[in-house]
Amino acid sequence: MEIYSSPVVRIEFDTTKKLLLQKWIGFASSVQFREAIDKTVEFVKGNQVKYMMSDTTEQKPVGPEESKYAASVMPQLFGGGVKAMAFVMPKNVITKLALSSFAKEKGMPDNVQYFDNVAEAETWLLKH
Amino acid sequence: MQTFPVPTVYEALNLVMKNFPDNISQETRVEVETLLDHCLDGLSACSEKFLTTLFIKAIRKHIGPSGTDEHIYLKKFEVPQIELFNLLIEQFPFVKKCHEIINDTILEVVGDASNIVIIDIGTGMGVQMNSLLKKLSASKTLRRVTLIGIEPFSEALDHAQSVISKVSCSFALNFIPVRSFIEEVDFEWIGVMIQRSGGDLVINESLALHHIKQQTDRHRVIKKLRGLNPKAFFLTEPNVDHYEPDFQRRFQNCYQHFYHVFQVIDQLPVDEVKRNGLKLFFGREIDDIIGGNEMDRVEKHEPAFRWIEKLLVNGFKPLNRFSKGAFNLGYGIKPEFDDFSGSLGLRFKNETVISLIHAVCDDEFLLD
Repeated sequence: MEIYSSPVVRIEFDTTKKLLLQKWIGFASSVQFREAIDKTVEFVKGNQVKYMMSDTTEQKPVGPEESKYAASVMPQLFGGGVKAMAFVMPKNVITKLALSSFAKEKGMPDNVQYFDNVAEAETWLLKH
Repeated sequence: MQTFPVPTVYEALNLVMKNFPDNISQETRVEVETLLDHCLDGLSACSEKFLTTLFIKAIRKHIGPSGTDEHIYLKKFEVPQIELFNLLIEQFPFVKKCHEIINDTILEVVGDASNIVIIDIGTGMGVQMNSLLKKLSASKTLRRVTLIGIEPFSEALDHAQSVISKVSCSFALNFIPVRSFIEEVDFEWIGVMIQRSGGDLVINESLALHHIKQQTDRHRVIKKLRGLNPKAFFLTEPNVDHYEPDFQRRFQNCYQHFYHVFQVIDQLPVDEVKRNGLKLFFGREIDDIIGGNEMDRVEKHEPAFRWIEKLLVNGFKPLNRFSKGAFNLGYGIKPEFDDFSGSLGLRFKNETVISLIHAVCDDEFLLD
């Protein structure tokens, strides 16, 4: 079911797999990006989300402050019951740099992994 | 911590530059900011990050300020001008070795002459001529040297005059300072000076002719110099096309050139602050090449073959004749004579960073 949708992101929840999927598209302004992050945190807090997948394949770069903001909510996500999180790698090289800054910001644990496609990411997630 | 392959900063910078200068949007500003943030993390230890930061600095004035100010990070690498100057002439092989090779070759050209005239275009603070005069002092035949130093900046020229006046020469030295851009020099007056002196003429230019903005002026100056009928004309020029009007191509040329220059700087036996201070010095050139507008740019380097073309059509011909005394260049730099262009290149890895040209008058060429 769809949780949230905007011109830059679509957030869906698979109730059977307990999987929350963020599908990012194009360039998000600071406000658009943070709103999507906040909606995600809000949903995780109120629902039984076990897995998260952030599909950034088509995402355009986010600024350093937005990367920090996203990294800052990770404890809330894992504290809210998320067991594992997978990122599907962006095509855009600068988005990749932003993602590496995000990873570096928090020092990602083993239950956060990066994949080239959605299928690989889902297979890994559902093993947890 | 899980990791993934992070793209090279060049890949990212290339993407940024594709949008510059005509397609700047909020998205491209975020790209620049993200790339800058990535580069500032570990800036001092990574040459590519430092270089990329200098490129971003060059374009920032066009796209406006954003979250991070790179000046704060770069400021700590500023080295006093005098230290930088000494570093360049004493340690930086692309300056030091070029001076040595050219000066040793001038010595061979002068041979056992008793009276010579030297025109030094872009004499700067007189470093190369100071060292040449010291070498010439070993000559047993030389009785008189007339040195015409052409330099547009008074401060540098005054310094050159002061330095040169202190050289203890075994011959009579007449230093004639000419404060002017080479394209504005009165060549008739120079001709009179040469005639009065009466000796063989040697012309040297080191990193000066590329400052002439227009091709027509470059040709005109070379033609005028040919009209002075020199025994030899030496050129030292960076072997890179920054005259290129297409921004994307110019960016790629510029990155490739300074990427290799910075790798040589990384090997210098000096501390990290000085190494980065030297890189910062080249940042001013990048500012001009990348950030300057077409009409104002002054660092309009051209590859050696283009200088040779200009020499050929104006009555000079290149010679494969350089003194090999200073050919042990170190730092992995190799001397390589290019038969096609007729120049001696100082090559590091796959980049000929700087080229030396030894030209003589083509006697079969008909002057106007």
